[in-house]
Amino acid sequence: MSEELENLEKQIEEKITNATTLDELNSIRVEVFGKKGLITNHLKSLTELPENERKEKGKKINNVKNKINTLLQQKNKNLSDSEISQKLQKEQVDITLSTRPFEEGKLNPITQTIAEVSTIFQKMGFETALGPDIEDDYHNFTALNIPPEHPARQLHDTFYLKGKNNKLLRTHTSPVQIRTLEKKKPPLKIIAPGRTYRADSDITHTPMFHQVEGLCLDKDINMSHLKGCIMDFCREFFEINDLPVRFRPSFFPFTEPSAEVDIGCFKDKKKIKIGSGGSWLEIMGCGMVHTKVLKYSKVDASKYQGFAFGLGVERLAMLKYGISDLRSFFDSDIKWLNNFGFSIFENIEKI
Amino acid sequence: MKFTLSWLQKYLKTKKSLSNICEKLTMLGIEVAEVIDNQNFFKQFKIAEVTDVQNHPNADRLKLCKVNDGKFNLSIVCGAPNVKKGMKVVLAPIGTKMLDEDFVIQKSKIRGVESEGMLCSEKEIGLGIDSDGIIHLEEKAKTGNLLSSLYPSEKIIDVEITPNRSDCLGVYGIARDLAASGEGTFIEKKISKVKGKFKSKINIKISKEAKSTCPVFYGRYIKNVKNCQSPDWLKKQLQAVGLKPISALVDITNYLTIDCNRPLHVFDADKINGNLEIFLAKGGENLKTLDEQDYKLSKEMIAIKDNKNLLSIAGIIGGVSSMCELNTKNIFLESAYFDPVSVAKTGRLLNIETDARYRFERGVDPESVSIGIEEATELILKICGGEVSEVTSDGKIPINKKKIIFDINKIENFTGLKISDKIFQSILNKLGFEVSKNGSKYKLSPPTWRHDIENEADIIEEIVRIYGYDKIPSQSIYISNEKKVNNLCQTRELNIKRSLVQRGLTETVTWSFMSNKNAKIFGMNDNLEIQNPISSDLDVMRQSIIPNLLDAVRYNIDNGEEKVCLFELGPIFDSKFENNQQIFLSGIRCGQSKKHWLKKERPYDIFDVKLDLETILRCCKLPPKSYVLNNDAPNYYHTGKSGSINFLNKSKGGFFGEIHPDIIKQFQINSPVYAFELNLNTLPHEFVENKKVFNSKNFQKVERDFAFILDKKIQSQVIIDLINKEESKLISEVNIFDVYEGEGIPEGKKSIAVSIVLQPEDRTLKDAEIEIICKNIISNVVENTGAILRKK
Repeated sequence: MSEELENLEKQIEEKITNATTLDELNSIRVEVFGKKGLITNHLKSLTELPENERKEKGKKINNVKNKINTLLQQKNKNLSDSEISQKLQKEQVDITLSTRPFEEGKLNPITQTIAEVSTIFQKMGFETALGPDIEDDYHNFTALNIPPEHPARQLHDTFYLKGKNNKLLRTHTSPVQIRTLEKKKPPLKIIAPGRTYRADSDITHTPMFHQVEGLCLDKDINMSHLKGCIMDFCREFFEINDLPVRFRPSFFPFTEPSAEVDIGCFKDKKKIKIGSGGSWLEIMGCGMVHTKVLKYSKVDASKYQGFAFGLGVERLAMLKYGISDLRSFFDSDIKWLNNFGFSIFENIEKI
Repeated sequence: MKFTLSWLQKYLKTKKSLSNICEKLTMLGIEVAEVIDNQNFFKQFKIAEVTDVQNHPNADRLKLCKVNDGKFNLSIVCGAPNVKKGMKVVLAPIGTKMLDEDFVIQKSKIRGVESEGMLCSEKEIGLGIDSDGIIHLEEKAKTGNLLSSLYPSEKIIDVEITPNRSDCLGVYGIARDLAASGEGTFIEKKISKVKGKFKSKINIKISKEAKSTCPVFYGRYIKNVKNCQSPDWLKKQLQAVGLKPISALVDITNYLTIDCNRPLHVFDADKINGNLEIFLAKGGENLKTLDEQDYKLSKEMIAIKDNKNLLSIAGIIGGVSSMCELNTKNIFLESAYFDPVSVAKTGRLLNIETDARYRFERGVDPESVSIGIEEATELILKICGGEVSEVTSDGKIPINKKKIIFDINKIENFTGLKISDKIFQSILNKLGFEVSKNGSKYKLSPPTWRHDIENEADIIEEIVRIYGYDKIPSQSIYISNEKKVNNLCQTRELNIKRSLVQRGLTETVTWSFMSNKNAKIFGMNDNLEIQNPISSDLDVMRQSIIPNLLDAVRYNIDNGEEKVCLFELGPIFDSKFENNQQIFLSGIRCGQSKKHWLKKERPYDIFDVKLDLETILRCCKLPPKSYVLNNDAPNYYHTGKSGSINFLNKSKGGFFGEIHPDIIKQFQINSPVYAFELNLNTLPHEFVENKKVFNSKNFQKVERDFAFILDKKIQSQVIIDLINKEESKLISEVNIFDVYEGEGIPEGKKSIAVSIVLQPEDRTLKDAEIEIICKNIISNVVENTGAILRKK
């Protein structure tokens, strides 16, 4: 009898070991523990034995039962693990496939450049001021010490509006200086980015372009502050700490003394690299605000003095970002915009 | 302005190198644009002889020339009318780099015939302005020699003179500036008066009205001159700076103009009737000028006449009737001063650009009136001979002896640079200022040639300019609390732009102008028109950005793009706006979203641009509850597929929708275009919403769906509003999840399915309660809209 049990145990063990699916394993369980199962039958047969034998036999059967149960559980876990893993394996996807399309556009390089410029000047305390594109003769010229028939007016090919007396498209952002001083008294520091217009169109001129004007007025602002401000700006904008910056005398009717600002560069055939390289590149104009301009704006020139500057946005963008054709800024060519535009996280630390 | 190094050295004794001088010029504010060594350039050209001229077989205007360059006979096609057999010419052989360095002479076929070089005009080699014919060299020029053998070596310096520095429009003035800055010693001119032997036959009168525009006029009669070709030194000097020699008399005046910025004029005295009068035109007078143009004067223009005829537009150009020619015997020399404003005005009105105008309108040295006439007389006598009269004149040289009281401490105050009295005085003396010191202050009077010096700031500029801008210290002005700087409008615009970029739109910048033609297509009238547009495509100020964006759509579609999504932030213009302009943000979408394995492509529709607009508004903190939509977009939108945004303060914010199909067609675009535009000037203040009190108790939410069949015309917003009206506190969400028209739904009706979420905050809703709420919602919709609840 005990030999029989041992054989049975071996038989069942073997079956369990050989089982390959959970279904198979389940039928073994029924075969062993079902109502008419092999072990069940053994247990049932206990009732027919005398008490002293029953106890001993019962113990043995229970041992076998426990052993088989453990085996079944282990096998069950093994089989289900491998079945799940097989199933997951089958569900594998191609992770290199592209995700749902997220169509992102680009910021215009003019926006990016103005934002970078504004950010640098903001660190020096300049607030943004705005003025109208359609100006009058007074704000665009006269109040900036450019009287009628002044030769400097000829350098500004001005667009005039039909039938509107003295209305014109501003030729520079400098009138914002005047507009601001009409509303606000010094001390002040402003920058004024915006569209400007000149009746000129060729490879290096477009009828519309962008400038950023700057004005700083206070009691003790002098040319050394102008120099510091512009040098810091140039170096920060072009991200070259030791960028050579040169101030040379020039003429603007609204500043005195006036200066043209050059930055160092390396030039060879049709290529320009900003930095130390022996050549100079003109990038902006500036100077101390002319006392006549202060007078027109009713600022007491004996109390306040300061500087102003003006820079061309497209020119800065072209130099910094390697854009070669000025006219391409205004073509709305999507390929160009994608190439030179900025995604919103690009250079975000600079604006 | 161009001048040669040798000319400069006439007035500047210096040992400095050319590059050092050029560097200094730039740092003085006289920007050097270019330095040309004419020898290197001229060495490329050869003196050659035309041995034969035939007509070109394929072109009437061209000639086939055989040209001997001393070694070979070349075939050259030439278009010049003056080419003829036996002529000595300037040949540019193959490989020659012309003035424009990108232009290199190459062997080429011109109208089917091979050409092995080019015969040059004066203009092409920078020896003058004549481009009508080729240069006819003198007979003695030796065939086969290099052109450089005919011209001495010259270094030519081309500088840009700012409008305030007319004194530097003369070589003399440039030398003075260089000397003041330590580049050498200034060599002053010594001019002695030439004694007249008789009284001038022609006298001068400045009319009373003209006295303020022509305060002084000097003249001199010179008889028995022999006008001739200028001597070589004069010719070459003029040619080197790009002027064509004409005749000695004309060349002398041109020479002095460049030498010391003294414009002069020589009349043929035998062509003058009686005396000269400088007068203000009455208007309508006609003059044929030296450039063979006819001009009609208008009132108040200053001019010169004799007893019979109009002779000259004063300070601008002379008349052809009294001009000097090679056979001229007796002359009348003019040296005068004309008011810059008057000359500028006349020049602008008549649209004449001449060298004299350029100089007079920038202001010449009034003293040079008397000096210039003596210098010119001397040169004429030397070259052309003759007998001179006494100087005749009217008016007085206008010398404005202005004094500037100057405190030397101002320099440091204005520039941060400390300048010693010694340096201060030395600089000003060298520039020609009279300097005297009175106590702690200086009394300064600028020289007559520096009319630009008016006040203290001008003096400061002179000092730092000569002392060196590079010596000014520099001080940073960074501040520590940059966050306090108010740049709200900039920040808001940037945020808006970023939100649109994230929606897939790319930012463009188009002109502020557009074509009148496009404005008409859009039905826009009363445009602000540009008086002097650069082209008819850009002749009115835009009243909307959309037309420019449509142009951009077409441009990109023509370039093969399948979808175009662009936006622009910028001004639009209308005389009814304050300052004629408002800032708009406009965008367009055309085409369809990309094909993708996870997402079917679909054409853009009105709800894309509506979302663009909602995104911007949300970015400006204006949630949907701060505005309402109306069906009243402008006519250039599709009547059925467009709307307007209206803020609660009644201002119209903007529009969105499909652009009218007729307009799209006129822009030659074949697929629908959707657009939005928003006026950023009229945006109301931010709509401030405080956070609701958060209820941490979690009560069961209830979701119910309803479908209504109702009139097609009833807008979904009406249904949503009606639902929200009931139990608005309980309703946390109303969402339309289906809109259906067609089979199963009666004509003119639609089915709208709404999902409603009830979220109680203080209890769990009982079934009976929910029943009642739903009943109320349904009856409210049904009663107010005539809708029928659709049975499930």
